[in-house]
Amino acid sequence: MKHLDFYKRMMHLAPAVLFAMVVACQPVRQASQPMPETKTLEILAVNDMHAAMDNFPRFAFMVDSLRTLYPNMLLVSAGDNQTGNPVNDQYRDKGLPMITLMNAVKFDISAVGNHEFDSKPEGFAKNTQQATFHFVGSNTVPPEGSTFRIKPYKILTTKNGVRVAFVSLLNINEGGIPDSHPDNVKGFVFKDPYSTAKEVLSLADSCQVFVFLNHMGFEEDVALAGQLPAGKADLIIGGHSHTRVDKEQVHNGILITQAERKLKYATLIKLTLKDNQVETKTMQLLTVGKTGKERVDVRAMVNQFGNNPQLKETIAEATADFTTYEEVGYLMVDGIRAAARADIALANPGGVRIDHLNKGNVSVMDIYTMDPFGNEMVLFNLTGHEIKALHLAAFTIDDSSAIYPSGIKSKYLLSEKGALNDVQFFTNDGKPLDMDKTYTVVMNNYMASVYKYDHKDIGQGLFRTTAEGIIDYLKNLKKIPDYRGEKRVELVKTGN
Amino acid sequence: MMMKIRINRTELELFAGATVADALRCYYARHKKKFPEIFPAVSDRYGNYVAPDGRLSNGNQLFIKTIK
Repeated sequence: MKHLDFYKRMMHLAPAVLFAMVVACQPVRQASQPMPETKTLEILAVNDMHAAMDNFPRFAFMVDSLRTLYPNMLLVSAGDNQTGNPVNDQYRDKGLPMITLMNAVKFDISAVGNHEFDSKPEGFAKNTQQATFHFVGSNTVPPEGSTFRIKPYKILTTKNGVRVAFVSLLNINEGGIPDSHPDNVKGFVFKDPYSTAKEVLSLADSCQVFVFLNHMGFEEDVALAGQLPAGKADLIIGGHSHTRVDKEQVHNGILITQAERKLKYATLIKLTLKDNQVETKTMQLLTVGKTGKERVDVRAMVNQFGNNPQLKETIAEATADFTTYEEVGYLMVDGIRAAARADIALANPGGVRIDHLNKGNVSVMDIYTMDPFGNEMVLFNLTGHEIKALHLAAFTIDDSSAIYPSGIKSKYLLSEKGALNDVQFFTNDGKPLDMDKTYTVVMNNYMASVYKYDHKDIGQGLFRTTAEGIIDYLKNLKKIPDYRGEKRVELVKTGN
Repeated sequence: MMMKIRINRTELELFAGATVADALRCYYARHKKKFPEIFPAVSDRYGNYVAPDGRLSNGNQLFIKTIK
C-alpha cells in the first residue's frame, strides 16, 4: 500500500520533476549565451497645455508620484504649451509663467507647437533660453544668427541606459508656415514635415527607441506612420488636433498617442526592450484635472502668477462713458481693424457682451470682460459686392440686428415688416463705397464660419484672439476718444 | 488655399485655421439647425474624441451622432 502511495505521489510529481530536470540542464547550454537583457522605458506625455496653469499643481503631484514608481520616466510635451490664459499671455515676459512651471516639474523635452510663436520672436527666443528642458523642431529652422535654443533632434539616455531619439515635426499650412500670425514666424524656415521625417530616420540606427514628438494633428500622424518604413519608429506622441486617444492606436506598427488638451489628461507610455529591441509598447490615458492632491510649492507659484499686476494695470484711459452696445461695439471693431491692419472690420451684434465702459482707467481684465469668448480674427479679401452679400446673409442669422462696422458706414433698407431689402455702404466721409474694389476685411471666427454668402477668398485665420487685438490697439492708443453719438449704421424703412 | 473638411456626409469649406467648433457652427448653419446648448460629442475617423478647439487641416473628417 505504501509502495502504491509512493508510486501515485511520484506520478503526480513527474511533470514538476521533469521541468526541474530541464531547467537544471539549461545553465549548461546558456553559459555561452547570456540571458537577454530586459529594460523598461516609461514616458509621460502631454500636449496642447495652452497655459492651463490651474491644473499644474495637480499634474506636478502626479508626475512626482509616477517618478517614485518609474525613476527612469521621461516627461515630454508635444507642443502648444502657450496661449489660452491671460495670466500667462499678458505676463510682462509673455509665456514665462508656463516655462517656469515646466521647469519646476522637470520636463525633459518639448516640441515646438504653432502657439510657441505667439510670444513673438524675441519673447519665444527668451522662453527657449529660460527653459531647463530641450525644445526640438526638426522641420523648424530658426533665423540664422538668432538665439533660439531649438534643436533638430535630441537623444536622451535614461538612467537605466536606454537611448531615446526624439525628433519633432510641426504642421505647416498651405501658406507654408505653421498656424501662427506671419509676423511671429518671420525669418524661420519651415521644411516639409513628411520629407523631413525621412531625413531624420537615420537616427533610428544609433538609438534603441525612436520617437516622433509631433505637433501635426492625429490624422496627419496616422498619414506619417503609413509613409514610414516598418520597424524604424516606435512612437508618435502627437498634438495640435486636441484628440483624446484613450485606447491603443497602432498604425504601421507605430503607437500613436495624444492626450486632448489643457492638462485634462496625460498619457503614460510603457515600453519593454529586450536585447536593445522594443518588444512591447502600451499606453494608458491618465486623468489629471483640477481636483486631488497637489504639489504645494507649484500651487504657490501658480497663485503668485495669478496675482499678476499687469492684468489690473491701466492700458488706456476712456475720455467718456460708454453707455450702449453700439458704442462698445464700435470700439471693439476699431481695435480689431487696427490689430489686423485691415481696411474694414466687422463684428456681429451677439459678439458684444457689455453695454458700458466707465470713463477713466481701462485694464486688460476690462477687455476680457468685454470680449470673453476667445474668438480669433480671420482675414478675408472681399469685394464691395461680397461685403454686401455677407450683410444680407447675416441679418436673418443675427435676429434682424445690424453688423458693427469699422472703416465703412452702412445703411440698411428695410420693408415695413422689417425684412431687409438692401444694404448700401459708404466710406467714412460719406461717399458711396466702390463696390467693385477688393478690401481686406477682418471679422471673428464665428462670423467666418456661420455666414453663408458668395465669396471667392475662403479667408485666413490670424491665430490671435480679438481680445488680444483690442488690448494691443488700446495700449498704443492710450486715450480712448469719445464714442457718444457715433453713428455708423442707419436702419431705414422704405416700404414694401 | 483649400480648407475642405467633412462632417458626417456634408462637405464644408472653411477658412484656413478653423477649429472643430468653427466646423460645427458651419455645419449646423448649413443644415439650418439651431446650435445645441450642449456642445455635441465629435469624433475623428478613427473614433477618437476631438475637443472643440482642436485645429483642423484640409481633408479632415469628423463625425457627430445626430442633429435634432
